[in-house]
Amino acid sequence: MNEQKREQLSALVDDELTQEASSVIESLLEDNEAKETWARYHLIGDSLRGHFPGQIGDISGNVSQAIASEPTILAPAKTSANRKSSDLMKPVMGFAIAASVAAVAIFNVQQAKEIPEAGQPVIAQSSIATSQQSLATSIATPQLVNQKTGQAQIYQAVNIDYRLNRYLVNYNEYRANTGVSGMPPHVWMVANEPESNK
Amino acid sequence: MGESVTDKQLVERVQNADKKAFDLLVLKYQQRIINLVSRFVYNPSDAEDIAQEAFIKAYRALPNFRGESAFYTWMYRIAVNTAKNYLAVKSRRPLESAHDIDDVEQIEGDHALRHQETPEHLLLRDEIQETIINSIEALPKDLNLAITLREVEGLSYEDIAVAMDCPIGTVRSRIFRAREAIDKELKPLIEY
Repeated sequence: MNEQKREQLSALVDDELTQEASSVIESLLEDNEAKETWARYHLIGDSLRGHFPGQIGDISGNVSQAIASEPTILAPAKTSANRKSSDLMKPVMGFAIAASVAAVAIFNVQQAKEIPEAGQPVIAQSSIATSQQSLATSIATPQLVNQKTGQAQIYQAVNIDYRLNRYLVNYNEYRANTGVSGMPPHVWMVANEPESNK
Repeated sequence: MGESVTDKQLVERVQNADKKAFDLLVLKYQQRIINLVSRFVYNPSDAEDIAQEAFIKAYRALPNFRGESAFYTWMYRIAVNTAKNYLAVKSRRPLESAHDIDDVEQIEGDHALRHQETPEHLLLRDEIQETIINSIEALPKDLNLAITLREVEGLSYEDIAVAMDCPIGTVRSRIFRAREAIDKELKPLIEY
């Protein structure tokens, strides 16, 4: 594998190769040395992001062997008949979902009214009187918070805080060690997602 | 986590009878999946077995994967379910060592149950990490910053180019040269 190919491989690891991706994958599949490089490049990233397991294992050989005896996958293409029936169902399903969401929203609103709590976001009365569609929209916003979802959000926030704190401590130690004077990890923090969203 | 274009291409290849493409997905995600499963089980070899089973299940289920979520998100759920099934089966036998199923997903990677790992494996793991950190420390500042912004901060090449005030092509080259330097030290430690 020449230097140009290795640089393309590095960009592929970062998902930054668009036009040449297919040909690089093609050559990667036929070149064991390139596959090993691919694995090590990912290992570097895993190490820096704290995704290392306690024990560095390589299960790729066993998985590959097991898969060799599996039937080859030929994913069925979506037929036009399937597409037609699903297209017909779309408006019906859309209405059903909207109705369900509206019902849940009204139920939540009633609960929120029954158990008012200081500091909890309050739903404006006018939003109850609006159409089902607007209720469906408002439930997707953080404005509607009943007790149950509130607890879930607090739990999520604690979890995110824990992860962020851990990340910041690790990264600050890392920055101190390496003398990196770059920007603080604001972008990463903003992009952080709770574990449950993975 | 955003959708990876590379993953999408690899999945499509597997769905079109290219088994080898699945190897690349395994090589890419195996450490993360083993790490994830290690939160459920103490024994590292059990974690590897469960991770292996999860990948095989994923391969079998790939015809039904329509790409509504990212491949890793989908793989993550398969691995968690495989680990939970393992614990459920194990709980019918006398418990040796296992976390509470409901709590275990909240445990972070480095807190994963290191005390049952063998000294040899811990040594290798620590040696690999030390090698990577040492290699990064030894890099010229521009390469160090480029690889850190990419791997630690997760920035795109475009964002790194803005942050470092240089063309995207330079970013790509710096990240590659940084990886080459780290890989040169790492290669003797790892056998695939």
